[in-house]
Amino acid sequence: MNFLDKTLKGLDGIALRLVWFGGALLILAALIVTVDVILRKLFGISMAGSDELSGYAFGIATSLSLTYALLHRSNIRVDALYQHLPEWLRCTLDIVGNILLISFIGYVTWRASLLVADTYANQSRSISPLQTPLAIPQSAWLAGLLLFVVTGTVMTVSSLISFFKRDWTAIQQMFGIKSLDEQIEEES
Amino acid sequence: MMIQAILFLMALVILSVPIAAVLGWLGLFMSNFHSFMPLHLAIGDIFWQNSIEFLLVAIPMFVLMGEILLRSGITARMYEGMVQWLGWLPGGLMHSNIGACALFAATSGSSVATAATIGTVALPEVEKHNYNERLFLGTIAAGGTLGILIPPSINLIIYGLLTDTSVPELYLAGFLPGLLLAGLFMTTIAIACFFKPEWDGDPVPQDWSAKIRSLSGLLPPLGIFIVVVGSIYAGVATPTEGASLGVIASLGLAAQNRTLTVDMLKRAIEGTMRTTAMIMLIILAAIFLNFILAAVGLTQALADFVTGLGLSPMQTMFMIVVFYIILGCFMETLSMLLTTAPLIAPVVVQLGFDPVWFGVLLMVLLEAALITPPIGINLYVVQGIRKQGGLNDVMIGTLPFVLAMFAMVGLLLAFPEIALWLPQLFY
Repeated sequence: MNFLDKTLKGLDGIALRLVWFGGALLILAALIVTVDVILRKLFGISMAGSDELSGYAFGIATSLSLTYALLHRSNIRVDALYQHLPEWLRCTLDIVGNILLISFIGYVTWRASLLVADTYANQSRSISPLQTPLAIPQSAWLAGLLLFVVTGTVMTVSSLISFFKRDWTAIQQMFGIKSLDEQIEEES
Repeated sequence: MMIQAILFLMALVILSVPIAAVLGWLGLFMSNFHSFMPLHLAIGDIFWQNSIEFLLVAIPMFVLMGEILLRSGITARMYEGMVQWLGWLPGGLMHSNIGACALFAATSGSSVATAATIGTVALPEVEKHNYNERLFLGTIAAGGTLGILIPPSINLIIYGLLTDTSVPELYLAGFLPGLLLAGLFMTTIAIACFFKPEWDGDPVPQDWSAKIRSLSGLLPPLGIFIVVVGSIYAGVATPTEGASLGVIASLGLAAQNRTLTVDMLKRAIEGTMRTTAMIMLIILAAIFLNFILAAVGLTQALADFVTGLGLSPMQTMFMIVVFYIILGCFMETLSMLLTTAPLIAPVVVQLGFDPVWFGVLLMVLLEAALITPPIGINLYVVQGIRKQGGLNDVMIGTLPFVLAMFAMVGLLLAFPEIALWLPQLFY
């Protein structure tokens, strides 16, 4: 097992733990929102901010889970033509598609980091009763994007090496559109 | 500009570039070449603002609720309950398939999960009770699509967000058409079994004490549906709040069934977050593209182009329906919704149609896309569980239900009140 594979394996472990963390955040958010609804409707007590907090939980949980989705080939792609192509061409499309995805999110991440830098410089707070210091949720959110771009870059390098070695199986395992059996396995 | 954008979109989609990247790059491309201002610089802000959008929080909540219910072991008992209550109809268990799919769809919202779950429980019954296999397979593939239309549907939330339409109103509008479509499916089965009695299986013995006992499998999912959708309809909760209530209620149900373990929660979370991350990436890219297209005037140009054709609104609507049916043969539903709704909905509104009504019509068309060959994910799911015979059997068995969906589209075109009556009653 080479260095890149080891790195990807390590990243996968991190990604999985981040997914659990994100899911726990969401369940917590569901609990807070539920308590809020019950208090508001049954006792007329308004607990401000449950919508804002659950929004942050959602944003952070989603961005922290992006890497896991990437490593587990969950990106939606149309395979009407793809499935009829020869193996080397499918692998080429896999790599090109991945580069286009990573570069786009790379651009988003760069613009997002400028946004977060602004937030730090201005010490911005949310315009709401909570007045949340936005730097906290935004930093966690940005971290998720960064991890996605780093992982995607490692995958790109690794897939290019496999491409020149003509190791199509490795590329299919990394990016290939999931077969139906794999999808059903996950959904049920 | 319009042709350029459409060619760009089609080329990348055909080359199986991830949909999120297609939408994102199209947005950057259009902004770079057709805008006077560097619009794309706002992308960081657009992504952040929508990442924390409260309405969208409903998506992971509904997915999580479905994942928890899926793993809480309610499906088998729910199916048994449906067999007891619907099995006496001509077509027997096939009605139970539709009923169980409708109820499961009402609590989960994922079509693939619905078809896979109900299919696993139902398929062994084909040989046991001598059903016509093709039609039986068709009921599962078609029943599984109901999740898109019957509230709480995730696709309706996405449509509401992209077109600025009220989600509670959409949920009210989707309710009757959802029931009606399930009814049309069941009528299709009954008619088929009336003319071809040999397609029907062995009759289900009628036993009232078994019926009463089976309620324990039916009432919990029904209860969750009422909590979630009822609280939204009654105006007690927003869709996101309703979804959060649903998550907590399904956790309670799992605890009562003694299936709530740390391991089960981890699996449910993994499934939820993978789906959520994937959907959100596309939604965020679509919102960005939407912003760019509106800013460079493409949305308006398309609307003007369509009105300039000089067709009557109904003729145009007919063309839109045909367009979606053809597109649905080749494209996956979520990508179809996200790439077309921001462009088509403004055209439809400009022609004088109600955006709530169009949302419901669009959902029925998306449902059809799930079961129209060659790319119809539910066909593959059912075939995948079956693991024998050919895909042809599923396609042929599903055909009558595709026709039922077209009938539903026709009904919605002829009588928009089917969708609009309930929302008008409340708003």
